[in-house]
Amino acid sequence: MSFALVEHKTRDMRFLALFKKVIIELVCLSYILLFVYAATSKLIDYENFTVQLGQSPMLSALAEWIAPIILVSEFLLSILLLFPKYRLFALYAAFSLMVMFTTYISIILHYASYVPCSCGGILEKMGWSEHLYFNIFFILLAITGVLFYPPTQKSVI
Amino acid sequence: MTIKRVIVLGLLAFFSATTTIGLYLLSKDLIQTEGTFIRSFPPHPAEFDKQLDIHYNSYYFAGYDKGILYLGNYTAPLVVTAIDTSLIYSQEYRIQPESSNFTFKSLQLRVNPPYFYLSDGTVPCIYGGKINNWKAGLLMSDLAYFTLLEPVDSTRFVLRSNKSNTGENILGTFDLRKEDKLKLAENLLEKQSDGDGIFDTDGTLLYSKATSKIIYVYHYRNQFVVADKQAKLLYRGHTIDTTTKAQIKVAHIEKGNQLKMYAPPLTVNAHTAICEDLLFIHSTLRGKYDNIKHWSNASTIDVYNVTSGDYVMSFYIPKLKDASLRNFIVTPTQIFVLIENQLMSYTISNTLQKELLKAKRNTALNQ
Repeated sequence: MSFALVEHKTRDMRFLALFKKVIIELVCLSYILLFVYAATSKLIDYENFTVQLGQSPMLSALAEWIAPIILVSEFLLSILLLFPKYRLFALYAAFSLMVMFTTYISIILHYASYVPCSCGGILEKMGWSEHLYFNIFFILLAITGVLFYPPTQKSVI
Repeated sequence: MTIKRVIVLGLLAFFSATTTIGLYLLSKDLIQTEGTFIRSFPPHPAEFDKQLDIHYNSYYFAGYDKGILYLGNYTAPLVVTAIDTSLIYSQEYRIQPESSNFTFKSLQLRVNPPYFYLSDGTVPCIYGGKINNWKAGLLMSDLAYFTLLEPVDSTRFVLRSNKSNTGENILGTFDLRKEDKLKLAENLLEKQSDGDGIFDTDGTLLYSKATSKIIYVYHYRNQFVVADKQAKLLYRGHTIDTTTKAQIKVAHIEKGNQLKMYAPPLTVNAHTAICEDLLFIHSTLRGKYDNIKHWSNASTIDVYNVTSGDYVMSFYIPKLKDASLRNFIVTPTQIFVLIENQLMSYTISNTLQKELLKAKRNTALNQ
């Protein structure tokens, strides 16, 4: 009786582990897709991207610096997410980047003197509030990914 | 394990958010710093409304009050054209100045209802009267030559004159009621180290009724001077571009003792206007991230707050073919522009309106 219960439990756990693994894969995949897509579209129209940052009511003075940093981080993170060794780290980083973007959008929506023309924006068809929800969804994905990630040997993070 | 990760996530979230907020504040600070030259263009602060053919390019704005624009005309200096702000009704008046034997060279009209002033700094003389009959009496003659004049109130004026020995530009106030009528403010205009005090200090003079301030914007460098109505210096502000030094070459022509521009100067601030607490400057320079197509097809207007000296925003007024604006005036709800022989009206929409209302509130609080 008790033996059967234990076996049942391990099967459950194994199922849970598999479920978590699939979720992590999905999370990483979505992030890779998002970052590669976003970074590529920025790269293709790089000048426009800098100009847009330059004209946003915040960050304008720093656009020259921030534009390449964002681009490089997005590409770098999508590569890191491919390697299991760096996955947890990349998930933390992706989470941080998303929080930054989201803070940016919230400041624009609530505190900036105006909302910049989103005509030809980064994710073009999306309005700023939709963008906010979209980002929050991705933040939740990253959190799920981190929490579902199996314990690491060197549990530094 | 899980708790540890939650804590790490929390810390990361905190640091990321603070970094972004920090960058925002830093950027906000940098924009106000001289030399960054980054304009911000909020979406559509002024929308084109109407265009009226006024047939001549010699008109200029002489004043605005209660829904009526007053236009003077350089080639017909005694004619006043009043046009309502919807650009539908217009009426012409003829000023009847008290007879004199002056030879006028450059009569200039200012309408500041219920008064109007007609002046010629080369005579020099100032005529004044009321707009209900447009009869002008001589208020002043032969006191000081002047090159610019703006009425402050019914008896006071601010003017720009020239120092008698060097010819340098100098600002001053002028009060008809006082014994000692003219008071020069030596310190307001600053000559640059290798400038001559004439060309390098050239600019436009404004008086802000709403805030009782005198504003002088230099044509050839990124500076403006703000003084109270007694011409006491309040502060020196700078426009966002990077031209700290007037780029002018002056040639001295021995024959006839003339000073002439050697090369066309780099004009920075071409035209100016004031409304409430906001200073509008038509700048001819292109900012760091300005779209070159938009910039070359339009005149760029930069808006500053006169009380703080801070840059507020920019917007474009499109050119007409290749002609850019030569005169403009701003009311709390509209912007009027003269290009060639066309008078155009723009409606001020929410973003700029908000700044104007904010400015109005601040002015009300300060008084």
